[in-house]
Amino acid sequence: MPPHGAGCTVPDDSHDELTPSGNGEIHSAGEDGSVGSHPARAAQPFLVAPTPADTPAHFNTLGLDLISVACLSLHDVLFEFDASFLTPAVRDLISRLPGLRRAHRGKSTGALPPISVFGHADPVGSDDYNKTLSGRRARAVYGLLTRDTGIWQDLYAHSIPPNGDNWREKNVMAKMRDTVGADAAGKSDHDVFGLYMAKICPFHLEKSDFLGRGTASGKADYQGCSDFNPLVLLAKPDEAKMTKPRRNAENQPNRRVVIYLFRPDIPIDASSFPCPRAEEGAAGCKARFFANADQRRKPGNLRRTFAESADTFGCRFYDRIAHDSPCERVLPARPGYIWLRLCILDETGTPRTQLPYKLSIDGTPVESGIPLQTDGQGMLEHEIPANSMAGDLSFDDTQMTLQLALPPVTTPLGLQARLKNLGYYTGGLDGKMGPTTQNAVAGFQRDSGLAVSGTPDDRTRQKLVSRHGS
Amino acid sequence: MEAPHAMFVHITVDGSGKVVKVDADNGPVRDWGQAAAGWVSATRAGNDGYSKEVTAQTAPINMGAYNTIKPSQKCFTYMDVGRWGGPSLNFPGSQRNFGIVCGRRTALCEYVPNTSLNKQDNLMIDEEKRRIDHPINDLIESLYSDHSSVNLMSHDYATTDPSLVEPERETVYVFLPDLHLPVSAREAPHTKDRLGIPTYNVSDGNHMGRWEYRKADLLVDRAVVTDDEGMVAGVFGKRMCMNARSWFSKYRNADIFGDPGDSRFTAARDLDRFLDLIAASSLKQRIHLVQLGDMYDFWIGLKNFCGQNDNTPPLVVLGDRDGILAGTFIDFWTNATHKLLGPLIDKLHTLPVRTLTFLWGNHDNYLARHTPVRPPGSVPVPGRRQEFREHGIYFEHGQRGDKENRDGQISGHEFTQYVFDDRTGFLRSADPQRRYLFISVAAISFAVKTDFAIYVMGHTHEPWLASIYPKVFPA
Repeated sequence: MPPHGAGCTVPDDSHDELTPSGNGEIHSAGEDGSVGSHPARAAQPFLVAPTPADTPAHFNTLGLDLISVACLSLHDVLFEFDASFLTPAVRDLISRLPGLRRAHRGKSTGALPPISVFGHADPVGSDDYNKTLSGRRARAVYGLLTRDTGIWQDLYAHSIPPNGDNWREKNVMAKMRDTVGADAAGKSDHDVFGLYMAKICPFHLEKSDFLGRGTASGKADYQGCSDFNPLVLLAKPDEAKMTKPRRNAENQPNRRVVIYLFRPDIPIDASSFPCPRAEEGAAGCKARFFANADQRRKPGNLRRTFAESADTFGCRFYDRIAHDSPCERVLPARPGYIWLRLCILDETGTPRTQLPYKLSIDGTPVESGIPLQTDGQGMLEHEIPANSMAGDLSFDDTQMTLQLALPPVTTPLGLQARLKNLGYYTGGLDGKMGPTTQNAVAGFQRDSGLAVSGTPDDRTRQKLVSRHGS
Repeated sequence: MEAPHAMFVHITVDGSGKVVKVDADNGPVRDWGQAAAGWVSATRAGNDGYSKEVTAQTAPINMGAYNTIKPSQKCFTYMDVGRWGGPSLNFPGSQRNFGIVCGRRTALCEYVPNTSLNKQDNLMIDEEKRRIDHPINDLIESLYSDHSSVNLMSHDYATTDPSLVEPERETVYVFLPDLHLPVSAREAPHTKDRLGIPTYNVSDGNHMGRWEYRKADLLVDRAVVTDDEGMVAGVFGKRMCMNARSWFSKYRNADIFGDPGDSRFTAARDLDRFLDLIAASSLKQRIHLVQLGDMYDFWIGLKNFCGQNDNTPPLVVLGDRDGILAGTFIDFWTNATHKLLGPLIDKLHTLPVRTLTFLWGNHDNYLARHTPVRPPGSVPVPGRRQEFREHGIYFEHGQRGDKENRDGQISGHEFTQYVFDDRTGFLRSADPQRRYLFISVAAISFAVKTDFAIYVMGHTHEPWLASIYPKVFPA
């Protein structure tokens, strides 16, 4: 069979056990966050020097690399605004952590991967404030995962001076009681913390499940990265014109907490972990900066994203952990915008990479300052206004109209539309299951390794969504 | 069961629509020029292009959901039905191949006598492993009996755009491949050599012009048992023909002409049973049975018949070698052959199905110009067609693209017989280009006029099923 869709990442919406491919993939992504597996890292040879006979005391030291294998990113919407308090909405996403860990067990020992929590803030505010706030968010997640009510009580009791991240002011106790419901009646605040945690996180981990094993007051277990590793750098001219709420919204992707899973069976010494503790200042972070960290994080005349340029992180150590992380490449659209993503394949299913194209949305040309071309996976990706209706795309000798509304695959129209996009259906979109549509279904089934029936059963629809990408 | 192969054929045409270059998966194809081609249209991408109307989903997140576009690409199903006969170089066992086509579905099968294969494993099934309700499955089931099974080797669904061609769904085509019925004729009058020892090389053997006979002259042990094709193991294990006398007597008893009751030779008996099952099928009124040619090996002996052998006087002296000569020759051999083929061939010629079609191949192409006369009361020999191209299906014997095709010639026929030589046969079977050549010829035919979704041929003796995707580029 001719191959298909080799260059496009196929989403897996299943919440069952994951099967990482080793190529790096997003298992799910939404406004609340994302879950992904990192690409397998090729083994690098160790370089050792021979020991000369006259210096027998010389030796080589081999340090095993810290390798991140998977990620779970909690977006800003899961936290109370400008605070570290986690809302009940976190439950769905955080519930995927145990399955993600099982999917990345050590191959030889079966050991579960240790985890570490990294909080991030946006560039608004001072480095130190952001360091503290991002550290508190990471600590709140750590407290939730370990069901350590003491940590939450501490966060509740202490804000960031003078009055940042104030849980009392956010009235979180009432919200927690409201969420817990009748079980909270007559219970102490301490008990409510525990009940609320159990409500929004149905499992809990031991401190020994974390990278630092809870041995050094949270060091290596959770940390705040301030605004040192942004996913989005706003264009300076645009930012100057933005209102505060707008700037906050545009910066939302930067405010996240990412849980990383690391390769099992590589013990680390928590006390020598590069990241400072969450409670410590930003100096320890800056010691690990790239030489050009300021340049990397400096807003320019154009908006830059880590998803596109992969050079916005200031911390060298974090960049090493997160550079290939699919979670850090998921980007919510800016307010008022939506993403249009299109994978262009040739007839053999090979991605059309670096393909120059022109695109206009509702008559307005899409421009980025540089000639448009597909990426290394044959994908074009643009933020377009959320109310866009149609587009015109052209490349080579091809000109096509994009209708920006895809009916569900369960409808005949949605079936025809996907088959037409993939080159199987050449008739009009009339929603009728006639011979032409049946033949297109049969052709798709044949090329997809399914039994050819010409009837769109559930498995065919599932495969169609998988191959089409939506 | 083997999945059908898939292959792209790249065709390059010049400004006048003439094919100037053909490339298959393994590189340039040579000698495709044997196939006549008409005007071919090309596109820069070689395919039908992307849809002009794309429906796309948008999302608030830039990763996860996306849309994919892929150009439309015409394709057709290519089936080589293989062979019905004894062992060959690439198939050490007996071949009992046949093909079935109905609507857009194509099945390449093997009739398996004396073996009970699981029926469920040899039917087309859906995702839930349920039997698909289709005439091909009905026919396969009807070919199961107490003493036979069917091996579904591979099957395919032709997806060429229905707006271009829609294969007819009522007819069930059953394809019988090359049979290569061995030559038989009157038993030769005995003569004696200069030492007074009887020789048997008058009417058969040397007089037939089958040049391999000559190298088997050393074989004297007439008790040697021939294989399914009347061949024996010679020196260094090579298969060799018997000498003239042995050839005739052994071959007459050998597959496929052999006595169906003879336990040593089974192909004729298997064909006989297969035809009985077809005739008894409830689908027989929908069956169009096609024999793809190379049924009579009429090249054999032609050289001598034409009086071109210096050592042997011609059997018939004729002036018109293109017309009368051919007809007389065929009548002569048909009459002789039928005496020995007996009821089996008559059964094939008169099978009670809706339609019977016989093609001529490169080994019996004189049938294209002459319908043999048979004695009164005999079953008439049906006429032969060169090809059939209607109702969305195209079938022919397949020699059209062969670089050694000798269609329409009365000389040079020895080239066709070279295939019986060990070395030539081996070289041909080992030629990596050979399959690509035939596929390319079919692909060019498809590019010239897309009026078929399924192409069927024989000729190579090697069963093969594939989806072919022709791409046509401008030079």
